[in-house]
Amino acid sequence: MATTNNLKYYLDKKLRRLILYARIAILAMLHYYGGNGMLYQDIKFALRIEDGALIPNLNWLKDNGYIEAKEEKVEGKSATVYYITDAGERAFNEIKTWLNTLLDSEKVI
Amino acid sequence: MKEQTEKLIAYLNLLGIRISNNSFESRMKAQKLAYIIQSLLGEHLYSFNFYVRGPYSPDLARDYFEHASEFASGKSSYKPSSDEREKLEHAKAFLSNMSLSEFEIVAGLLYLMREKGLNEDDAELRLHELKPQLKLEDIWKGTNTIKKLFLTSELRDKIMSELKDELDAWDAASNISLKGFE
Repeated sequence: MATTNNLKYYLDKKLRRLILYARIAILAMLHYYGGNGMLYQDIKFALRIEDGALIPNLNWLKDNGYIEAKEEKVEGKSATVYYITDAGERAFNEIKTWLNTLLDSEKVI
Repeated sequence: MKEQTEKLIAYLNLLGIRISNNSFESRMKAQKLAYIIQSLLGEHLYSFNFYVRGPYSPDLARDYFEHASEFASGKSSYKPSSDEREKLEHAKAFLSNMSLSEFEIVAGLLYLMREKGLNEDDAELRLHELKPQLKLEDIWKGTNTIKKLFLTSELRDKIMSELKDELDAWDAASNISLKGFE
């Protein structure tokens, strides 16, 4: 039984590195905002974390192709807007499925 | 296009506002404007949640990506009623030159009052709690803008008529007292 149960905890090695507070929360927010994107300061405010914690996580997500950053003029000033990519959407959906499987005790694959 | 989309574009036309889905600022303005417009007209076009930047509708976002050219050109077959025209003409003076942060404040306050049932003071405090980076004086200005937006000629006539009734009552009372000195 333990062997069977353990299978539901399996997650792709690359996706395992997404299971960090900032990374998963950023993906979730950007997924919700879709093509609208989010400003850097809004992500920072929503997560209540410092630049030192936010920037490395944003860079990790960007370097792995899950999000992209674009410079835009917002209220006359230059601002960075972050968007989720198709790969980010796929990863987020896989994480969601994985979490749902974990939470659903009836689903033992 | 869905009727709600046709309507929103027609209303934005009356305000002289076009939405470009290529600009973050324009998309966010569309979100806040749509919420303000449907509050002003008392019409439900989209469902909104309160998100990081105030009222936000994923359905509306889908619409302006799907119908980008219509939002950018203002193409709509919906003809607003005279009542809708009057209300939006009145609102145009306030809405056409507002900045993104002013839109966020006005839409945020309206959401807290309408959807959460908060009174003016509580909505101001709650918005400041949710968005502490906003200055309180800017939030107060937002409340004043809401008052001006909703002060239609009909409402103004009603207030003036009530004031007149009150003043007439005071005049009558004062005339009675003056008679006592004659």
